[in-house]
Amino acid sequence: MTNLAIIKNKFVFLTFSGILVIASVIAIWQFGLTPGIDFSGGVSWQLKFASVPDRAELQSFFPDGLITPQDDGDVMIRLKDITEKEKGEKLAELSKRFGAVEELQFKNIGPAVGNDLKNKAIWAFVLVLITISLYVAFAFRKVSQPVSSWKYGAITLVTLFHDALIPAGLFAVLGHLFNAEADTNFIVAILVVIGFSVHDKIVVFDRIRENLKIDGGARADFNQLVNKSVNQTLARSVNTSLTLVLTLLALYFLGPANLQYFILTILVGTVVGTYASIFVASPLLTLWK
Amino acid sequence: MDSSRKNSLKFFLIIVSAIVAGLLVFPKPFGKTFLPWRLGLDLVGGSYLVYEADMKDIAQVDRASALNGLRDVMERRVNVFGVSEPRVTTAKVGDSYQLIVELAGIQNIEEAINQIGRTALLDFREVDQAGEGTSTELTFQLTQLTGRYLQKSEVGSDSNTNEPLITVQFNAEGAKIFEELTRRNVNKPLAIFLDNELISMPTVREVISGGNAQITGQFTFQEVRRIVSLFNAGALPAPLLLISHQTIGASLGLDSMNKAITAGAVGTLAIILFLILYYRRLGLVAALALVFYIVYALATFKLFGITMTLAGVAGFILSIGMAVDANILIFARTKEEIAKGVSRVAALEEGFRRAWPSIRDSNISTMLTSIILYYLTSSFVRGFALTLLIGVLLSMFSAITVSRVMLRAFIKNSHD
Repeated sequence: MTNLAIIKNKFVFLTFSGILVIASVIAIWQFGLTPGIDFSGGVSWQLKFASVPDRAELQSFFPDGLITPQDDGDVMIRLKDITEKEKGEKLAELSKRFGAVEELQFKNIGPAVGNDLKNKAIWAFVLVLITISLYVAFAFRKVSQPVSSWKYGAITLVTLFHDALIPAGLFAVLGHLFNAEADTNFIVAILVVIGFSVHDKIVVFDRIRENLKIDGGARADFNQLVNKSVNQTLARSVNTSLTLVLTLLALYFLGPANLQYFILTILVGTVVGTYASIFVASPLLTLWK
Repeated sequence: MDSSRKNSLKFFLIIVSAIVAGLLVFPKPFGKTFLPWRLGLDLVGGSYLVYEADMKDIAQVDRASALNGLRDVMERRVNVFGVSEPRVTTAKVGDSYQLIVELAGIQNIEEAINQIGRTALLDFREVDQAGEGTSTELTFQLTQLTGRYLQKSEVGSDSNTNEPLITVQFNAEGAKIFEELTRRNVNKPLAIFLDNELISMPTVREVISGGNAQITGQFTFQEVRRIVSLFNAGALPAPLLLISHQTIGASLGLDSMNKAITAGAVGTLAIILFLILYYRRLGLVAALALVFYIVYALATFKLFGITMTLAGVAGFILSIGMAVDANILIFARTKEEIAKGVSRVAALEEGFRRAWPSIRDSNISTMLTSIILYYLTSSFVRGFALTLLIGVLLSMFSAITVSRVMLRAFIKNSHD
């Protein structure tokens, strides 16, 4: 068993988390999250050019388009709207001006469909949050001392919020720098992170309560007991996340480019979530008893 | 003795089922032909189209059945294009009646979209001529005769010029209307419209009874074939508007699939390596259980005919990362028991017993999230939610039952 002095150094860890949270809030507030076309409606067109086209010339071809070059001659173009006929004409003209061009992907989402997807995503988000909260309330239904039961639940929810906020902040920065869009996949990634990391927190808190029962009245040093509990569950928390992180890293570096932001969001969320399980949730508990 | 025999039987069953599952999943020799993968169009390339039906001319009570009628017509039309396993589904979103058409692996998507979205409404109109000579102005009068009365349409060719033409056969009611219409218009032109576009304006030579008509025009054989199949598939009961269109090129789909498989394989190897390095012999068992899990899960996807989309593959790969969680919990508990001085066998049994509530709870939240996502998202994310859910469920089985049976078998053997 490891024996790290986590509670003793809690302010170092909490400060680190605090800085990340503030940075995320500022990033979201400053840059905002760019909604993906599946929410806002619009066109995204991914083309592969045999020879990399001149950026400025391409921009003049799509005056209203938002052009994001990708690897090996791939270009992502975002447009407001385009009809099937215009699309065919553009494609023919493009190959005339820029050489061979292949259509990798085309998405044209109407505003009605976008609205529907947005509503569904919001519903999914709200429902998952409610379900997770109920789940947390259920997990902490038994009364315990010296910290009352609902505080365990409240801290779990606060740390989950922390786990979701930091990848969202990162996404705002990515949106600012690389036009990354917060689409359905982004919402799903955040929800998967929450669903995955909620249990990590419960395991630690369960251990604390188990140890409280064993130690009975000897609750002279709650801090020490919490520290012991965190250390007891540390290997499990780290190893469980590690196997997930290994697959996520493989997917991020070797997997399809379309999924990179999706995977990155889950990856960052998982790492942050594991960090929070160990270094944020329990220290908060000792502060709030 | 008895329990050990029971365990041997279970061990045997697990091995046999894994071999059967493996044969199903492995591409050769008969996994491919016996039960091929159902691949989503984001992996094989294709189009995902959402149409909105314009129901303003249809009474509220008839709208649901009109939508089903639209689906039937659309299915027949899509079949004309020779798409493999086309899927046409309906949806009602708020007040909007929608038709979702999925076309996988189609060559000329633009052409397909142009054709399948056509209302294909045929109608005959009387022609009023005003003015003389070149300054003739034509006005068209709607008649009763429309594609509704159409019984059959065929490709034909003019016996003199060999030009392609369309023959139409009206039903009894239509034949009567047609006869009446031709009687009124002998030696006058009669206009034929397709989707409000004039396609032909022959002059009526004599009264036609029996309900057979020929439509000639400046058609190529290909056009004639298309129009005939559209007629035979039936006109759309309501006009359709394409409100969303997604197309994934075949090369991107293939590339995505290859990359996802590579990433999955590398991720799995990394986990196996970690398990063996960290947990040694126990890790080897967990790694074996993981391989069994992968085979079982893939066989399940195949057997239930679940369409594998890119997101679905990603969900499955994530579930591989989560699958060993149960084993890690069990081993952590086992180690604690061993530290207390309990024998290896007893420690393992205790580890399994005490880790169970934790394993169950740990998976519940992921399962709840997947279920909500499945019901509240569109098809692309659905695949992800479904494979993640099935993966998490199966992984509990593999990590608990499979690894327990294996461990019991191995520990017994090492004692003997």
